[in-house]
Amino acid sequence: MCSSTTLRACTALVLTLTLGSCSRSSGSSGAPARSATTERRAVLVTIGSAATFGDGLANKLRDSWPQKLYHEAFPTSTVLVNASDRAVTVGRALGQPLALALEVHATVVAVWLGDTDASVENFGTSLDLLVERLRDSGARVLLGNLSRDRAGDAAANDAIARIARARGATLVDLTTALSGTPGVGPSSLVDVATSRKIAEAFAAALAPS
Amino acid sequence: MNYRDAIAIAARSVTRRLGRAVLTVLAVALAAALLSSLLIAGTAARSRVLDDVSRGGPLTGIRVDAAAPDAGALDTDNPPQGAPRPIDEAARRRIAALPGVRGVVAVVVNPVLVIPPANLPKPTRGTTTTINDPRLLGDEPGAPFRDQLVGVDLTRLTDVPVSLEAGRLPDATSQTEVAVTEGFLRRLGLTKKDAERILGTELELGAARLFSERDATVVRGRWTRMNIVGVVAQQIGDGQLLAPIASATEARHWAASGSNSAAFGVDSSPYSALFVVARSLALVSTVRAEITKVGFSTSAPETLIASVQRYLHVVEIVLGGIGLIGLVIAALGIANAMLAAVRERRREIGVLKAIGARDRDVRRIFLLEAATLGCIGGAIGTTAGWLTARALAGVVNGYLAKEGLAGVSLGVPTTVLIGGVIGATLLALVAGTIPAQRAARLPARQAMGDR
Repeated sequence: MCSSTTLRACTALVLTLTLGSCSRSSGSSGAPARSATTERRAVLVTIGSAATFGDGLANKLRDSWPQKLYHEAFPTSTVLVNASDRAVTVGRALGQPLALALEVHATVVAVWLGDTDASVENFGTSLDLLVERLRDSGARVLLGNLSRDRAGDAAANDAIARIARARGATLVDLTTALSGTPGVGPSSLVDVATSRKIAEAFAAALAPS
Repeated sequence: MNYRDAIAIAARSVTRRLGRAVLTVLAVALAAALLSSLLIAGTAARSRVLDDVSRGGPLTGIRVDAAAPDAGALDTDNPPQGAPRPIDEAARRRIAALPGVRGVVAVVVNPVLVIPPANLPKPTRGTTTTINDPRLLGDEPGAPFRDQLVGVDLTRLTDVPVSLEAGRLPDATSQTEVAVTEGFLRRLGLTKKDAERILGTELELGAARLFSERDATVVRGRWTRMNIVGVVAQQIGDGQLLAPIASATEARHWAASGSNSAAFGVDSSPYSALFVVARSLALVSTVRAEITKVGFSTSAPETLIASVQRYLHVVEIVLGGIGLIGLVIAALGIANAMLAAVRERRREIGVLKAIGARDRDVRRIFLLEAATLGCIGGAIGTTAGWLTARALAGVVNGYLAKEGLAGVSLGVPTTVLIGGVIGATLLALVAGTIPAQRAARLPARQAMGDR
């Protein structure tokens, strides 16, 4: 399904790590010291599935919705960590993606999940826990809802809206934003135009009302 | 006879035989011009060659790597490294306190994936650059590529002189500023002429980190956006991106916290390297030996610089020799002119002696005349030599610019200019000594009788 260009882009990050003639392996432990003069930077973390990862895009490093949101709605000094994974469930997002958001002291976390969970009940419970943990860390949480194309989307959207209200998260109305592109969900392939729509919806939710 | 009278007689003699005086002055001027232009060009070439040898740092710079010295390594500029050994702040301070060390600059290097500016300027018309870099992850100029982010303590830039092609260096405390190299421009299909146009554009840097999840390994990037504020002439270590050390440290912290970062060239050393500057070229060997005792591998181009210095010294001797031959010829010209003057002015010498001038008064007149010719010739010659060297530098700089290399700066070689005038005057005095002596010893009666 993926073109050679897509595959090349998929391996870009992996290839990044083959660098480093100046850096050498060391047997000792301990991480580099942080500079005392470094100011606290805004950190955007995105948690999602295939669409957030950028599957379907030839140039996901430029065109995925987290990248577009990062470029268009945040100042230059912001750091982006895309903690998405293909076919991730909310249950799995409670693992490494959540830990990562907490580790980097995320100031904004954009979450778009929901169409890969087995049941709405489990989805609601796990999402509530995820948002609670993120809100407790002081992060602003943006919660994207679903497009209502599939069975269960409406119930999932009810859960998302309820959790957003209860936990002080910001609901991102992707149902409306993606109304012209049926079949698009968190775990689907996306094109550049769809990525842009998703990013714009998140950016609109970020703006003060 | 006082000096004023002697000067007046010498000046009158010079103006009375203006043609011969002008020719003598020209001979001296030509020789002085030849010598001074050769010296100026030689000195400029010397500094240029040594600057090139020490690209990326001063001549007294020593690179200290995060590795122990190889016990079996012979003394070379770049000895093989021993086992990895982290450089921490304590090691940096210990090295900074060593005798002969002028300064220590910490360097942090981290591999990054670079997303070039989206609004990449088009190459300047008429220039073509072939992009043939295996690190490019695509065929087009805007494709992402791998590189090294080199973080340097920019508050210590006096110890790491970096010359700018365009713009400025990043602010030492900025988290969003970066300078790039000419190599970076070439990778984007641009040339040095495009340096100004890339300023203000934004690029994105991703530091990668490995995560192990069950049986899978996931790579996640930590992305930062940076504005290009300058283009530097030198390659910066192994990288093309120069940033404040805090930016590189943050990226390195992220990468080093991964599950198997060492396999991808990211170690846990707080500093990737140190750049140590010795107080003088002569102390480089001593400082390197001291750092080896502390337990770190070093590299410095000291053997190369010593070889280049020897070679350049030979060139200077040859050039100086050519100039000196010119000066000797000029001296012979002065002596010849003065001997001719003595012969022509025998009657005048006789009259001077008849009215009471002593031998030393006559000698003084002729020496003053020779010194005047030498001084004027020296002043004209050294000035002409400097202008000639400048013209030559213009031609050379044109060629260097065409080749994409930094030009030569001559400055004003005060020592050569002053030394040229004084030297030419002294040479004229020496050359005029025998004619002056001959004139002084000429008996008055013999001088008058010849007529």
